[in-house]
Amino acid sequence: MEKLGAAVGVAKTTISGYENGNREPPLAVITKLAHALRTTADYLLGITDAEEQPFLSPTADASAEAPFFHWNGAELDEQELRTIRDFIASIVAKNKRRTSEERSS
Amino acid sequence: MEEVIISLKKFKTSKELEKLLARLDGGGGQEYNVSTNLLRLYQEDLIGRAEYLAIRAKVLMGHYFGRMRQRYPDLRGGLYFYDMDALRIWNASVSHLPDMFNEYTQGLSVEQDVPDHYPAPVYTSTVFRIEDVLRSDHPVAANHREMYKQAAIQSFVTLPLLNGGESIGYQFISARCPRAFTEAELTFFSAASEYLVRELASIKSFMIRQLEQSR
Repeated sequence: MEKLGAAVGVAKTTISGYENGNREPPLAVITKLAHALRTTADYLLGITDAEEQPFLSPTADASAEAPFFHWNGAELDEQELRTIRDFIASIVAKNKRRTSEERSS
Repeated sequence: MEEVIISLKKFKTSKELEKLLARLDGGGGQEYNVSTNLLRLYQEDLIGRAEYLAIRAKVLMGHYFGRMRQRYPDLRGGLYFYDMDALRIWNASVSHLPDMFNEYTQGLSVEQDVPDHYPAPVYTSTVFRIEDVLRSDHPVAANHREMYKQAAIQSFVTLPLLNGGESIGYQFISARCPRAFTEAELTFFSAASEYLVRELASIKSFMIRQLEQSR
């Protein structure tokens, strides 16, 4: 517990609080915990059952500069960014459509 | 009061998402972890679980196919959902197949690939390979030969995405020349299938709905 606390930069009593459910770790700590425990933030948050993301590992060259846009260290290329962008744009459009439908009804 | 809260939340959602879009469009000079920012929106209930997972799955599939192409540069891949009720296939992935082929698989009916008394096309439930599309007399090759020709696909292998006993879709790996697929290649693709199915099973319906709307 002490080691884990040191790895993520919080006291061991804080880790104990996370474990017994008395405290909620902030997102920045969840990300560090995921890294220290070699799992994913999604898994720790219960969003998925998959403990690892074998195809989304950080760029191999650790000394290289952090990529501009990345997914937990794994670089995102133009096509992936376009896909993410289109997907978010579709959510925005859907929300706008829903709002205007609600207004007109 | 409740209406005001809902309205404020909608406003915040749109604002946050538009901020994210602007960031993706404009850059800004600093490194940016897209995952953490989407996760924050999810935690604040500004995007849904399925939406977050769908974006994550898209990124994951893109990286998988990127890795596949590094390892096997002559191969291209795509991932397809199979809608058993509608007998249609949907392109799920950020595919490296030609656009024409992707367009064609945005809800392609595969009725002609389902033999009588058999519940699904063979390629959705088993590893299926055609090593020479032009010469093969298999009905699947014959049914889609023209499309394969246009997409410069001369050989392919499919690997099912099996969730429990049910197929949710398949990987489609193709080459521009006739070729056999080695055991090492198939092992690599199969291992990926096992992982990908865990990611995709829970969001299949959501993603098909999205694809239907974008048709």
